[in-house]
Amino acid sequence: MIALLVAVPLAFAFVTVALPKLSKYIFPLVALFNLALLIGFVHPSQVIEVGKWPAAYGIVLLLDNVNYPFLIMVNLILLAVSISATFEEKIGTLLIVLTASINGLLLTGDFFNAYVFLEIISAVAYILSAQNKNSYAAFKYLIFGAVAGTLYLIGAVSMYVYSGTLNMAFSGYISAPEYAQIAGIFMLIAMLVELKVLPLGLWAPDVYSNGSTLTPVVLGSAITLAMFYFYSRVFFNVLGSVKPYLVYIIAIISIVLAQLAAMKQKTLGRALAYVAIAGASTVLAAFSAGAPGDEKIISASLVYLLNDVIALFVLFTVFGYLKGKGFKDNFVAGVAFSLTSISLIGFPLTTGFWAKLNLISALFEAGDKLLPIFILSSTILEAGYLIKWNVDLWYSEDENSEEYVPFGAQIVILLFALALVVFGFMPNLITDQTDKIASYVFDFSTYFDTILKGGM
Amino acid sequence: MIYYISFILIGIGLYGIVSQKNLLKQLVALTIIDTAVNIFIVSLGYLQGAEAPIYSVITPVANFVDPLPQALVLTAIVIGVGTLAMASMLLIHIHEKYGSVDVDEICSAKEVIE
Amino acid sequence: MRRIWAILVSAVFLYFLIGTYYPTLPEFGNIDMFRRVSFNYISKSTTKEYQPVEFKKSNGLEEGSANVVTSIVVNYRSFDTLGEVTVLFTAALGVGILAGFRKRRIEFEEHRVLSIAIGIVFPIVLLFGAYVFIHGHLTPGGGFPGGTVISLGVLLLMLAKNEFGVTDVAKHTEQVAGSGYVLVGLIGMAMAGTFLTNILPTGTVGELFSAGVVPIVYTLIAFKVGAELSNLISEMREGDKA
Repeated sequence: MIALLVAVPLAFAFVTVALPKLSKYIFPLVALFNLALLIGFVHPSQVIEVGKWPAAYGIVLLLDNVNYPFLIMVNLILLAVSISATFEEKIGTLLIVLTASINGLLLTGDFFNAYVFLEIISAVAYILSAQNKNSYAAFKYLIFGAVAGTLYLIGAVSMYVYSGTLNMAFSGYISAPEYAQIAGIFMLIAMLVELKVLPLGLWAPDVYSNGSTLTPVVLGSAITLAMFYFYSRVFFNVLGSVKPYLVYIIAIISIVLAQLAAMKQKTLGRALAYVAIAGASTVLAAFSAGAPGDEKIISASLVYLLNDVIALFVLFTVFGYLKGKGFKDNFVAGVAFSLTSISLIGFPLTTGFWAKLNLISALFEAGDKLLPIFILSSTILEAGYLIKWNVDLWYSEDENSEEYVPFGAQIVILLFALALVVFGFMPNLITDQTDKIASYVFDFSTYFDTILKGGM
Repeated sequence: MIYYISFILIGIGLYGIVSQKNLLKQLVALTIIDTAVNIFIVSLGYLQGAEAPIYSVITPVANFVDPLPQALVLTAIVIGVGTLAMASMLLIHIHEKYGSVDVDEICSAKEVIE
Repeated sequence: MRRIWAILVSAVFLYFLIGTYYPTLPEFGNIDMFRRVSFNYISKSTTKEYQPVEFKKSNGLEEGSANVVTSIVVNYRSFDTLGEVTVLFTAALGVGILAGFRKRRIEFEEHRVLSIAIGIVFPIVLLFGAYVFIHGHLTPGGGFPGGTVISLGVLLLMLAKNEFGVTDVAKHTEQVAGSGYVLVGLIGMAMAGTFLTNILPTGTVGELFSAGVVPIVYTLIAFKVGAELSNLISEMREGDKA
């Protein structure tokens, strides 16, 4: 049954090529079907061997407690994008392919299969970033992304040479640990490019600021969630952490550079792009801090990631529609924008406050003092420029602007902003889920047993 | 020995991407990296004295090289072709918009537009 | 300044590759096949006991194609091939989206030798492409090279006659062939319980009508790739018609 999560969107995508006008309606239906299948019919710890070949010889699709919350979150975000964004007809087909491939990346248990799905996601992202005639930024992104994909391919084939199979669980079990570290370095460089860490993420400011309502929303929320899931699956569960100290230092440098650059930007789009880079680098630094296997830090950084992703969804949608004009005529959009910027800064009674508080206290318990200093100082910087942008937009003296936010988009962003505030009042709803993820993600023996016991 | 050839080709390709100013030359360097990685993967499966992995009149019984890297390279080549097609289309677009495919001229043209 | 950065980056990479990575690889030509899964792929014994396979004699095995690489690509790891078909589909769709922004048409100068010779060459090219994909489970090749050869024939036709244009037939072929592949997988799921299972009988190794679903899948892939690449070339040349 899990294979339907990938097969049904793919079949619909092939069908909609000839009827492009229907793709705008088929895409929310497909996302809704996926959500219904996930919540109603499948439950964690299921394994499917595609084609009925045994586990190490064929491809394995696996649903367990780590990727079940990620799947629900990604499909929910894609359903929201289908309602809130405006796009042309052919892009609808691309977004259905994106749904199939993100589900495939989250479900797979095989290194080469993950490479294929990563390349499908990258191909869709290159085309989405060329919207609004932004071809030069898309070309830079393509060069970076294609080299990253090639490096990941070398890493995946090295795992085959060291252990004799391409299955993630068997390969992690059989191969020698020092060899697995070397293959992990290749995969690490590939993922650093996709996660926008700043020496390698120079494509991100140009791509995220092209002003469409679709590109930065999808790239910054759904694809970022999928990449962080894949990072935690490969480096916490299967291979063991690869050079955590080096990743820590690079991520902290990236936070500093991104926050300093965000202060100096004159357009809202590029400032928000640097905010996205800083958020992703903070989560990456938190993943590599402390001793390996520290569950509290992972749980707190997952809450921070969720807050970051939802906030960026709302902020980029509002920027895409209003293009920097004022909020005088668009009251709902303004309220949503201000609520999410408050949550991003971390004022009390929002999700951001609990995220930062849990993260800093978990880091202090683990004995790490460097990262909390950077989180606190970047909070102060964020408060500075986000409040300045808010004040500018609420009191701007523009002429009649014809830009408006459509009704569907208004409902979606208001719901997301209110959700952030509601979770701020009752944080246990989220922290229970992330504690469960964190406790399962380090457990290699459970993962291996689930695959050994085999089929549905 | 053949591993060294493919590593040097990867080095040449990376040098080309970082140092060239013409976008088409950067695309050619990307294709060199793709080809080098494909050669490297196929050479990981070679067994001395064995034949191509097809049951035929010449080899009715099995004495084959490793077929799995060849299957992986089939997929990797097709993915490389797809990326190359998209990059060429983007280059056509850039040329129509800015009038050249040189990085310096594009940056100065961008500042004129803004 | 760019050259200094470039030499630095590639020197660091070369040092890492040759110094740290190369010693971990096995020696060229001296691999241990028994430790790898390919051993069971070659002797077609992933679900049964080991038994040596012989050309035109072994019958009713779990997997029937004589070309071991085809059996891996279409049967054991069929999900990867579905993803690869999707990558090509996405690339062709992306070129179609990017091409529609401005109307252009590139005119070629008609060359007399090519215009006359195309009548003889084009059917031979199509025949060769069809041979490659029909015998995909017996000889090297398969759906992807076969489809590419067919689209090269279309490119030759486009270069020979200036008025030639690819119509909507290509788009409909691509769509039918692509959904056909997913449909084969779903039929396998309905009849045998798991996605992309091989349900037709596998015959003798080496015959033309053997290996279950494999020739059908390769035919669908060849039609899809041929239609897609023809569409791609046509859109690069003359923009989107819609």
